[in-house]
Amino acid sequence: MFQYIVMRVMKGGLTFLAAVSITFLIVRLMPGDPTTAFISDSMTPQDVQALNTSLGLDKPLPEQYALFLRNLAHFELGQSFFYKQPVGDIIAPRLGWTLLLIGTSLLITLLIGIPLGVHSARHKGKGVDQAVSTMIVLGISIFIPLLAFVLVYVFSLELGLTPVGGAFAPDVEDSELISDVARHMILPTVTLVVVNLAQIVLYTRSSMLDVLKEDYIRTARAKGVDDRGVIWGHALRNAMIPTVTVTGLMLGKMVAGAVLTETVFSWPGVGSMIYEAVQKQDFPLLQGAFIVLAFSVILMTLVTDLVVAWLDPRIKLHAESTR
Amino acid sequence: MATRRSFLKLGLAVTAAAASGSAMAQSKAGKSVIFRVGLLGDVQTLNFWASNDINVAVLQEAVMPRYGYMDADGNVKSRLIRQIDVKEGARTFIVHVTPGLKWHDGVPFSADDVIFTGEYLVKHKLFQNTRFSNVASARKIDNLTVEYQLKAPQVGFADVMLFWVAPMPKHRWETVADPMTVSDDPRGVVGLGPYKLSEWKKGQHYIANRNPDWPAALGTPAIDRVVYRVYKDENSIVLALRTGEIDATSRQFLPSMAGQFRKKPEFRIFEIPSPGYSYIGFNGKKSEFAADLAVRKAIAHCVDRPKIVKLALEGNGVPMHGSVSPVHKDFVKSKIEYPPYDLDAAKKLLRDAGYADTDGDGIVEKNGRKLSIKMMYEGSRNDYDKSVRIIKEDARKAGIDLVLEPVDRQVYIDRQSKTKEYEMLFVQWGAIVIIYDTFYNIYGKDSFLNYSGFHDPDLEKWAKNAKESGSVAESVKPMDEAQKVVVNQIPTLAVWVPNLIFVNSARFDGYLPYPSSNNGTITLSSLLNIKPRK
Repeated sequence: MFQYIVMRVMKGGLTFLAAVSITFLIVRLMPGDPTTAFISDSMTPQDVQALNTSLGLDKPLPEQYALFLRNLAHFELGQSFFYKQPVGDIIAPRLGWTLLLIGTSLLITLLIGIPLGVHSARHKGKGVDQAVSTMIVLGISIFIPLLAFVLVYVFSLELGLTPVGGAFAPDVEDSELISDVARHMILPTVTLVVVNLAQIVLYTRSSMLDVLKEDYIRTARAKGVDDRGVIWGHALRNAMIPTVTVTGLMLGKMVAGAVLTETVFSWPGVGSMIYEAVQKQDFPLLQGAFIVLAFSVILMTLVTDLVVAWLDPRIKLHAESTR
Repeated sequence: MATRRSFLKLGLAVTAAAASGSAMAQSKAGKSVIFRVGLLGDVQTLNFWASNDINVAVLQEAVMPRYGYMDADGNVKSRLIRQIDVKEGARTFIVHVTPGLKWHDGVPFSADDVIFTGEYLVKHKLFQNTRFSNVASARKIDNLTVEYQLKAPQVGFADVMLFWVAPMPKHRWETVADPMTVSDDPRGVVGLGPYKLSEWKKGQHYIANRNPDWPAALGTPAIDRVVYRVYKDENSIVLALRTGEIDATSRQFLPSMAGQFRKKPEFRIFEIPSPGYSYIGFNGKKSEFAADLAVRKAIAHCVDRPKIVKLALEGNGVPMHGSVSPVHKDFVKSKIEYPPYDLDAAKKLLRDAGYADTDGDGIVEKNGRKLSIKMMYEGSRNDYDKSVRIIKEDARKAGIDLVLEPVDRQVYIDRQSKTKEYEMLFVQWGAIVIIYDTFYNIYGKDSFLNYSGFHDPDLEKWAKNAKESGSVAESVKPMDEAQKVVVNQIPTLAVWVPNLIFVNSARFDGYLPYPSSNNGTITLSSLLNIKPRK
């Protein structure tokens, strides 16, 4: 197991290096340059040149890259061009909001998706199963901003039940903060759950259908284990392997979805910050956000792999046999 | 069944919590008058002097206003400065500070702050530093009086300073060596306005409470608290206005977007002439045709302004026939206008200049080259796109091939301001406010706003004369002469002045829309005048 963990951590490290390098290049390949965002009629060309120098943009690209890696090794993400603050200080409070939103959405997605997938598999071909299949198609194909705006339109504008945006009302008392945040979270969470639920249901259902055909399930039934015991006691652990794997992959998709969801709902997380940073061409902020998110996704993927290895000991054996 | 009941209970618990949160949030508001403003995007910095961000400007109106403001007639008025005396042919200016003003930390606002502001802005090249580029010296006469000596006469100095500059608290900034890197002062934000910034959460909201020390003589606000909420999406901010989550926004509305608020009694719509205008710019250094006066004049004859306003702006603006916006009433009385829309005149001009369509494709040629010019503009701007398409269509009828080049905003700014890689451009000035001062900045030989580097000695002379006149009245004549040169030489070709549309909640009365403001009705004058509707 130790060997397996070491291998996975090394793979994760390489993936992280690739991710940060691509991030560095992508933001610099964008058209124009970031100083254009600051130009005003008060600035002379000399001022613009001075701004470039102060931001380190006058240096050759390899030098900028070396500097970038060196700073990263010291956990320095640089200074935001736009906000003129350390990137870490800007991202830190926002990361919590993003993790709260994604974590809640993930939890609800799993809480609904796994039982629904199991239920659908147990009633294959029946009305419930067909309804779930339709839902899967809709969930996979729906466009996040469209869904988000439909939800805001219906629940905020027409019904007046939910706020349009933000994480909490500006003048809310501390004692009411949790309920106010819960209220503000409803629509963004529903959006993320709806677009991700389909995958969990799909994988759980397919996997459960396969597992239910296995010999050991037949054996369990022959030994008199009731249906509930067979499903939850014997089949689910093996059926969960693809679901856990897809959950890890889904995290990356959720992070991408968070950019759109947070923007529409003005959720003060890293996603909406990325949207603004792109508009402002704030390289350090974009880099910082991508790095933090890439790290989070790689970390979660690692955790997912470890959970899968725990669920399926053959994976560890395979790792050991390939030594 | 048990599982279903558990989910139902969970759902009810969340709903109950949400509903109680809503009710409590409303009750907490109590009887204080709260005015909620929606901002599109976050506030860049709370260092007001290191930013030209529109959201900073909105917040600044309440917390750290500029010395003066422009009224509904386009006249610049004093506020934090009581009066400015102009002496010695606009070489000496005596600035009288409004008495009784205190910074938010209780320190009196004085002549020291006024002198410090100019010197500090220039020293650290902060925004608006160029407003003091003509200052030779600043001297304190007494605690409330400052004397400025200018290097050269500049009648607009007083108006420019009043309109553009916000004072800095000397006692807070004199020890700051590098203000461009300061975003939030950990000791808190010290302003001078009728509202104190009391709480902010970056990316979420900013709360400003009424400043009890604000002198009643400058107007007592009826609003106790201004809450600025940050939204990330334009559609969300519109929905927030519709649901009553906010009362106003500084964002302009497109006519199509404003349509949903018309005929609804719970909203008020303001249509304000913009302080800016759209124009075509020619870069003779990149195109021999753009350098040819006959071509520029022919293109001027191809601009059908009323049609463009009707179709491209959906009627939401006015044609601009001269080089000065009609917003500046004193400077358009002489009606000095560009060549009118006349395609036959355009064809004749080209013919007389030696252009002819020899191959019958409808485009004229000269010296074996087709009269083709590229016109760059921001492709994301629908109003620009429609405008240039109309001009292109008419230009083609006159034998001119305008090749449209829609580009990304960043690319546009880069090519306009830095690389100068364009032949023609279509763009809009954001705000041209002190016209007799700014005219030289647009057409002066080495001025930063003279993107193409166009130079005409007469234009240079008259624009400079206007800037250096002894009084505003005296600047009218040289401005007329300068305008004559512009409409004859056509370095730029104005097209339209848009109306800015703003939508506010009708729960409040007393909004003051000013033509000088890009912030709509969220100006200090408005904030001092807005009252809850009875």
